[in-house]
Amino acid sequence: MAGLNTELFNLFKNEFFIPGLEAAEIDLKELHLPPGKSIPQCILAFDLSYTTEAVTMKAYFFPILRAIHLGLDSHRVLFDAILRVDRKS
Amino acid sequence: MRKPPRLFSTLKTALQLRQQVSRELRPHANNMGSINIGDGLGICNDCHQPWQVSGQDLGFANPNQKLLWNTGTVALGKSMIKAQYPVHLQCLYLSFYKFILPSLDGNSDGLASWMTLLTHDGFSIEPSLNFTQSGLTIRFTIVPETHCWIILGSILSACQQEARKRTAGGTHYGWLKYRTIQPL
Repeated sequence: MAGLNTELFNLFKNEFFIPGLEAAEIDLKELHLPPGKSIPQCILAFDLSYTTEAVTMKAYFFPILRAIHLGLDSHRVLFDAILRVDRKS
Repeated sequence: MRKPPRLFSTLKTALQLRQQVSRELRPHANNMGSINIGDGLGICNDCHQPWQVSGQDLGFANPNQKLLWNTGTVALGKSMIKAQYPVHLQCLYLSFYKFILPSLDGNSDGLASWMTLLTHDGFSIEPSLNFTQSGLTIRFTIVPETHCWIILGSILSACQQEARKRTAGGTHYGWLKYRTIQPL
């Protein structure tokens, strides 16, 4: 718990996340998903250790919504983000 | 000590586990693949599993959280039993599961609002098993609400505050020690 380091998470969060209302609009209008369905911008995975009381937390980002939002290729968004985060950290 | 499973026996265990879990869940699954909570999995008169017992008195903030508890903990709890998790860890991880529930229900008050593409039936929690040389590890994946960056931030800071509180108070809960977030 004390080792929780959200620095990288926050850096990538700022790169990839778009506001919820805009995400919902893209889901509906651009991706034609059924109402109520959405593409997650981020999912979290927890590995539950069986030897010690520890949870390993992993964050998975899905930059596709950001890419559609900016009108850019998703690879471009991804590599730009990595380069920017690399410069910041 | 658990013996490291060999590949064949690991696969065999995985298949057996999958068959058993699906057999046990099937009577309660509706045609959408999700689980009905009214079928004795949630509140029941003859509770005998940890998640059923603790599910009665947790005081959920809203019906969504109760639904997420009653559906999500079945697979999680059963998997942990099959994977021979010590009882204290089962309890700990179930309470951890309760801890993260607020990040899943958001402001919504209905099932449809947290339908996600993570699972085929739109459920926002996906338990899974990881087979390693040292044994089975239970994992679960969640899709926080659409406004997850707000809620997620509050969850993470709540986790940190809780850790500080517990450390400062000198309690010996052995509370969940987070490791660093691993980006892709």
